[in-house]
Amino acid sequence: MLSANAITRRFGRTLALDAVDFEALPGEIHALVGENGAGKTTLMNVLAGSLAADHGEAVLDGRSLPAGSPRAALAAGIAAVHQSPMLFERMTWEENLALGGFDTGAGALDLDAVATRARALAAKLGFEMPPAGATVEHRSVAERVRLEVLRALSFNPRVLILDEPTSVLAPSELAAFLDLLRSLRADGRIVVMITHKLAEAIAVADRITVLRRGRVVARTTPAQTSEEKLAGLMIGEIVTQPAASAPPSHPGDPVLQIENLTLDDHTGRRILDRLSFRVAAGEIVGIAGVDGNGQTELVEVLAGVRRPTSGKVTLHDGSSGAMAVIPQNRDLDGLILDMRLWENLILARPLREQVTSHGWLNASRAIDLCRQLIDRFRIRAPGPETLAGALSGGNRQRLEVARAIASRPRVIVAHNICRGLDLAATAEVHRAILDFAFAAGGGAVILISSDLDELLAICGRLLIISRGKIRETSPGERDPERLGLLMAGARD
Amino acid sequence: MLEAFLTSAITMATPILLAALGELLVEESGVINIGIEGAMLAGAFVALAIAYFSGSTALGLAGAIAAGVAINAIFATLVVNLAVNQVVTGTAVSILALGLTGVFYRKLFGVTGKAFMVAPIAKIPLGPLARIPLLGPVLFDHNGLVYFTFILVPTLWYVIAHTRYGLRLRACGERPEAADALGLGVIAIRWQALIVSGALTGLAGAFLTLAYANTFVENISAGRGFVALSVVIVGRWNSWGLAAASVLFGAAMALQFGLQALGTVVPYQLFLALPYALTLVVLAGFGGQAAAPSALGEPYRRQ
Repeated sequence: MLSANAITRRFGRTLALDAVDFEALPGEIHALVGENGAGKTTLMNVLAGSLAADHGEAVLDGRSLPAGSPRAALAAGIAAVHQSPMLFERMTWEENLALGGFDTGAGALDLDAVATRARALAAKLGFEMPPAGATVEHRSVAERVRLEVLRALSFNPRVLILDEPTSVLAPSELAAFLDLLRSLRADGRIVVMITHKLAEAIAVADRITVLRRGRVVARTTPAQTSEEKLAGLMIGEIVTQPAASAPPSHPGDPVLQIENLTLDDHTGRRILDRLSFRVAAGEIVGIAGVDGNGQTELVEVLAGVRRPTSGKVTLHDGSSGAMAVIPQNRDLDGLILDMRLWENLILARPLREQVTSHGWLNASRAIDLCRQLIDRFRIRAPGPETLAGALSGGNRQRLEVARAIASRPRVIVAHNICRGLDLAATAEVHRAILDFAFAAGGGAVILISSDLDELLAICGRLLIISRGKIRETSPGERDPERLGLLMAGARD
Repeated sequence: MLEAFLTSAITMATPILLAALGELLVEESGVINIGIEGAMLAGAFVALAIAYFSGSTALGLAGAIAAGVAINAIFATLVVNLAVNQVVTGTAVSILALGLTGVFYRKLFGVTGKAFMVAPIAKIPLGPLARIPLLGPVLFDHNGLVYFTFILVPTLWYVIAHTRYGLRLRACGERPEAADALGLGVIAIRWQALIVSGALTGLAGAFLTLAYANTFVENISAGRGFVALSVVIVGRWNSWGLAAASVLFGAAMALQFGLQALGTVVPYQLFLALPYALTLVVLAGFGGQAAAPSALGEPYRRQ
């Protein structure tokens, strides 16, 4: 039995876990649900040894685990899959896996043997592996999660803790993945699954523990609860937020025009293939696709960090700051986690200009601005002086959205903005995006996502990206199944 | 003429390469040690002092290793355990060693102006190889430290790229928090790299006093530690690249001596500056950080 006894952990002034008791039994899948910032990930890190608790202890089968020792936790059989995969970017995937349990630890290091063992396990799960010798840095988020899952399983763990593992898996992988969790359960292992997808928790878990603001508010079973009840427990009140919906769009003048945009990578492989589309003011254009089909590169080209091989991107309002980009990897590309919230805000040039005069930064004005945005976008943070790294994932995302919208750009390019966000946060982010597009003199939005439901809910127009090519869908095309086929690369 | 120049290039390259290989290990683990200069000086001084008083070259070398390790242990305590800024600490360590060796030298040998000479480390000609025209004297007629240094090149390349230990080392330099989550013991690995590097850098210093100058003068390393740092960058964090870059700098130093000996009207100080000017020029061309470990220079501290 795995148990956490009265675990308390603070980050600065934020109480992340407040005397949390938790237990999971061998042969069960235990779902840990809660809003962003409820303390789920902190609890996982304490159990996996990567964080030491201030008080309380983790106990596995009667033996208490030394606090803050990942090595001891792994030796005891606890493996964790982190929400943003803990991989080594510039190493090959084989090397990444060799650092886990696929390497026997005896004799010379044999990466081929590691790859063979990994492929065997991957085949069982229906995971597709990257080509031999590929480094992690250019792999998609989904591929990274698969690698991290494999690496965790390579330790042959007694306890597997997964932080939002399913949010990036393709539907075809999901079934095999849930089967895997069930087979681990059948072996008498303990599976702890952190999720905010309540339907999934109810479908696969044997028991559910609900966290809210660092406290356990309920322990229940799927039979005794429902999605509505869980949502209420998580948030503390029944959410009556209306689902965001896309009003008929009345596109104004074109704001952004993309013509024959082509990008080859350094090996000459074609990443983006003659993309042409335009986006008008007051319009939300969705680009749907399975991760790894050129979306990341498209965002990089639009953000100006990567030069296209050929083609043209024309922004009709040429002023700087006319485009705001919300990248998918918020911790690496979006925020500087070691900086304060207000400092992160004024990384955006338009906001910086608002709070500087003649080259002098007026910090108190920046802090005021930050405080306003914290209120307006309901960022859960002690204050503008908090470090961005102290926020939970969902609140980091709110901060990025706040920064983009407050910069008053003509176009927002957003990539997987709701990945890993809970229901309330997703609704708020969607609401903010809709307000941005449909306000008087509204802006244009390009929303790139692999979540079709999200795109159907808020986009007026839907494009499909597949293998670097973009195709327009007919305006009435709203059938998820057919769109899913197109995303997978079907030709009509 | 050519033979003398090339032989001198290899000799001049050796201490730089030895120190740079140590630094490579340290940088792969995610630490940048600007204090190499200090460990080198300490090695140079201790090697000379021990060899002079004991008459034993071997004891001198052992002392140099101990001195380099001791200096790096100070650095490691501050940087690895206490997460102090690496650049500041490294600079402080360099200055500390410069001061200490100067003081001890005057204390032990007095300010007489007399050079305290020791016998150079014996050369070991490699049998028939040493008799090959040109190549023989240039490559195969050196002391043991030269052979050791050049044998380290393929050895370290293999260890870093192809062994379990190298993989763990690189993991600590790439993403220490992920290495930690896998139970790799970032602190222990960074300490190990710094200890090995201390030994190599100490030996590099000993080379200056025991194999090259056969005496000690204040600041005998004359910036070679910093040249070694740039060699790691120019060599793209690859031990073969480091070897090539070191030989290039060795050649520049050898050329400088050759030009001085020719006795032109050009002030000799310009020739003295040649290797350092070359360092700047080459760094300007190779300065990109693409090949550097991602977490290089970032202190690692758990939340």
